[in-house]
This record gives sequence, structure tokens and C-alpha cells, in this order.
Amino acid sequence: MRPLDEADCLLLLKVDARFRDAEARLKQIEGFAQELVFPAINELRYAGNHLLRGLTADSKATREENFNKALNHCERAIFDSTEVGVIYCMEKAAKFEDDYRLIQIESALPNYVTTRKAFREAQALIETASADHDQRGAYADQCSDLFKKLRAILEEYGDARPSLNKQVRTRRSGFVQFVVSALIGIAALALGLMAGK
Amino acid sequence: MFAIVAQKTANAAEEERAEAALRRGLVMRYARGNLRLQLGRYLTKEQIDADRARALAHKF
Repeated sequence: MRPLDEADCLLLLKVDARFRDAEARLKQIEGFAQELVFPAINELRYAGNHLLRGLTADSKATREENFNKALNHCERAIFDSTEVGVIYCMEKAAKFEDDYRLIQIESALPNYVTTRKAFREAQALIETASADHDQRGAYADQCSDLFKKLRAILEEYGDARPSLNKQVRTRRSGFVQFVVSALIGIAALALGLMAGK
Repeated sequence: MFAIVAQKTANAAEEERAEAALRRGLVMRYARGNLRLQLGRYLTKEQIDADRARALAHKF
């Protein structure tokens, strides 16, 4: 095993920072979505493996190569966990739209149209990142910023739910009233016709 | 002299407390992770791919 020189230490500190970042994001998503993200955990496992290989390496080149691989795995872990957060937000938003598809959401959420733009933006980013496998690490920060934005929007959606639920109930009772009155009308008409005969 | 010894003891106790808290925190965290695994609350690559496809198919 070769002793660590200054360049090794600098690279190691870089890996350390990214590993901690990945771990923090993984934990954040775990708390938010209440689920563990296996692919990101696997990436951190690979990062640990390369870190050990690098630390126990006999040559500078092998050490550098393994530290760089560990760094890449950390970047992937960051992307994987953040991507799951964005996907989770998109699914929640789709469910929200589905729940209130029959009513005017804008009445409770005046900036609703603008917020939808953020979800379209997220779709575009996820689509590009999924197609370009090698560049996924580079998308991590963009994804992270978007995740924060979407999370804030989802909070707004959550706040609007009571008011929208009230609208749904009013609409439903209006529909029931309409059906009952229509049935009474038809029955009255039928009775009138029978009496006329 | 006594003040130095007292200070050292206080520091050691403080360090021990911090270490215990850290250990407790880590144990709780791993326990939470394990609980989620036991409850089946985890996302595999396949599940994430399916979720991604669904989210991308939705028209916002």
C-alpha cells in the first residue's frame, strides 16, 4: 500500500464531499417519499468499493483511477436519488390533476397554470437525462434545484386541497339534485300521460 | 491543577455524550432503513423506470 500524497488527499476530500452530499440527498428523499432508493444505495456501495481499492492501491495511477470512479459513482447516486424525488413530485402532481379534473383549480390556486410549467420543465429534464446515460451526473444539480421548486409547489397544492374538495362536494351535490329533479320530472310526465289516456 | 483535571473530565464527559448521541442517531437511522426494507418500502430500478414512464406520459 502506497502512502497518501497531497494530490491523493485532495481527490479523497472531493470524494468525501460528494459522498456526504449523496448521502444527505438520499436521506432527504427517504424522508420525503418514505421509501429507500435502491439504485442510489448501490451506487454508494460501488463508491465504497472503489474508495477501498484506491486506498489500498500500490500505484498512483490505480489509486487515482479508483478515486475518480468512486467520485463518478457518488455523482450517479446524487442524480439517482434526486431524480426519484422529481419523479415522485411529478406523480403527486399528476394525481392532483386527476383528482380535480372536473373543477376549476385556478379558483383556489391562481398561479396553477404557471406551476404546471415547472412540471413540464421537469419532464423535459428527466427525458434528456434518461436518454444521455453518461451525462447523468451533470444533471444532478439541475435536478436538485427543480426538486426544491416542485416540492414548494406541491405544498401549495396540498394547501389548496380543502378548498378544492369543497368545490367537488358542491358539484357532486348539484349533480345529485339535477338527477333527482330530472327523475321527478320524468315520473310526473309519465303520470300525466297515463292520466290523460 | 484541580481546575485543569476538572476541565479535562468535563471535556471527556462531553465527548462521550456527543459520541453516544451520534451512535444512537446512527443506530436509529439504520433501524429506520431496515424497517422500511422489512415493510417493502423501497424502490427498485424497475419500479423507478415504471414510475418515470408514467410521469413522463402525463400531460401537464
